[in-house]
Amino acid sequence: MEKQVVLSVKNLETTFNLSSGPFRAVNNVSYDIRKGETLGIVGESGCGKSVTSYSLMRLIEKPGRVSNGQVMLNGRDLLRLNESQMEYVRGGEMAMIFQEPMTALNPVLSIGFQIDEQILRHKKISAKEAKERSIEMLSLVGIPSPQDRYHNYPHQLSGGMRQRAMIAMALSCDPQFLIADEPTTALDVTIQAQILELIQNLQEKMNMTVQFITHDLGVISEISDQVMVMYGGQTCEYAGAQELFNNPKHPYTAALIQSRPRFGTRVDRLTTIEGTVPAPHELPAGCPFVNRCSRAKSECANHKPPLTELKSGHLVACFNPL
Amino acid sequence: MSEIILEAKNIKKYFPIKKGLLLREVGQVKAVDDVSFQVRKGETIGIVGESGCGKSTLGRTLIRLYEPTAGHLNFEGENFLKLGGEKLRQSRRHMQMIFQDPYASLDPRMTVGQILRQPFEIHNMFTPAEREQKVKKLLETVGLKASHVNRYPHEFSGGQRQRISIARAIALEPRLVICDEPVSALDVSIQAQILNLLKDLQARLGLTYIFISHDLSVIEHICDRIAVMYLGKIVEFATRDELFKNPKHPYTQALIGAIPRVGEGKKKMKKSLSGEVPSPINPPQGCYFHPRCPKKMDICSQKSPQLTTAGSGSESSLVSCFLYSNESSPKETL
Repeated sequence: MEKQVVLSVKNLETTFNLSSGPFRAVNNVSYDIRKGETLGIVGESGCGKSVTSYSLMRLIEKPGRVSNGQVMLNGRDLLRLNESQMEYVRGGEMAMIFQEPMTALNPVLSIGFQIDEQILRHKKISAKEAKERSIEMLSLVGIPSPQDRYHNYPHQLSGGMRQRAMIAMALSCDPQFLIADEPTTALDVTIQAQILELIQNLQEKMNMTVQFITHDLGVISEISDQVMVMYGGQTCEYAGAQELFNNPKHPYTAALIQSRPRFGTRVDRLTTIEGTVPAPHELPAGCPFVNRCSRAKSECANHKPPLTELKSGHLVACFNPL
Repeated sequence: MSEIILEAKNIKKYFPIKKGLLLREVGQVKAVDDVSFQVRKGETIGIVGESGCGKSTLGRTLIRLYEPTAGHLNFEGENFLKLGGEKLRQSRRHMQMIFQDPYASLDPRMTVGQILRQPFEIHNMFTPAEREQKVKKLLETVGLKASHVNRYPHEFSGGQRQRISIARAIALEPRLVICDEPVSALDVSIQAQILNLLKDLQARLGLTYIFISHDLSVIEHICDRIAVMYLGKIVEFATRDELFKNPKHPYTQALIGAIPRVGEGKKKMKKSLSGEVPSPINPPQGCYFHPRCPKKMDICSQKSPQLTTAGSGSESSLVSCFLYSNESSPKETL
């Protein structure tokens, strides 16, 4: 039996009204995530992966707005909720871990206070119980002597510990859906391995559904069930993790994998993708990758390739897939 | 074996910690603690480690952006630490640095032309017309257009800015370039371009690189010999083949084990190192790594291991660990 779909995004479109004209940071993106699974979203800076997450949380600020689409979380369209309903969903049913815990945490409040605050907002319990719950969460994420750490301010914790505190906060109200936006990018490799292990363990324990965003192909390959590759605000490929990395169909995905020095595989020169990610105002009319693509055909410049299923579960937006 | 271009012996760099109204010195951060190695002409030495291990401080100390607290530094047979004034400036021409953040290392108020002319002006080389020619040629060498000469850094992308930094570093035809995390701030596809460029320039200009990075995949790609640092000390020094095929120090093993692998499918993360890097102000007794080490023995918390040869022939490397030293298990000295 197929697992139940927890999150279903349909035709999501987020537009920023810039002085140079409207810019679609997220352009017609659709995907589902099933219960207990991890969807990895990977792409380079400016590809729209973070904006997608912020759109889901409804944290897009002016001049940007979600201009079209549906975000169904457990059958409810988040884009149709009013602000106070949404506040209740944020941190409750769905939570988010941010890349830089130093900027995401409030520097003038103790971490204990910040976790309490969230629990009290979402649960009808006393302040004393909230404190107990906070300390329990801090110990769950592996922070030593949580009673003492409860009173600490963010600057008193190391980068890894701060990220753990933020995970404790995100998970304090048992969210069913967690968005992790580059949660390990600012961390060292050995600490990164610890945090990834922690997220996996907690996910299993709480049967949580996760959307994991990163630019690191290695991380995404090890943590995801499904992977979505984004470029220029659009989905260019979607498949199971193993399938995607071993059998990429989109020229961009293939080039991205090739351009990374692969551990244990020695090459004299790396394959490069010529040029750079196009700026918002210079996105081509057709496929966003057309100007850097080695397999581009004449139709690519003027027509957007639709996302089509090449084989079961493997979707590609390309007129000339590999 | 080719000649030695740079030799560092027992280099130390301690930063004082000052406190109170009188700024009395209350302690020291041993950022680089007794580091020795040799760099051969034309090779790429990698320095790898996690944040706070002292790799960047070491890089800066090697070209005297920081004065070392103690130690010897020989550059092309000359005692580099004794040099001063004009002689130091002449010597510095031959060693250059590329920094991590291409947004911070270029002056936003200067055009690319001004930035690239500056090295020639400082060293009083060439006529203005010649400089102009040189600058244009440099831009082309690093894959930019000569017509970019009047643009400002903000008009370029991160990868292009890093190309400008590289052009500036190679302007005076240096013999040694210290690259401090040159690709860490860049996207994957741009990283590959810059890494290829660095390799091309090395082949064309006969450069020697000291390449500092926290990214082991990048280090494996570009380096010939690698030093692994932990809390200011080198814990392992080996050739690329030896280090990645047969890592000896438990810390190196953990670092290599923690690299996420592409395309092997979802897997349960295996328990990696627990704990964090201790503070360099108050490092642990004995081996600095022992509180996190999965293979620690009694001796590790009492004595500091020395960097000694382990293995033989082409498989030998320098390791600072009692697992390989004679003190714990009697082994023949090499």
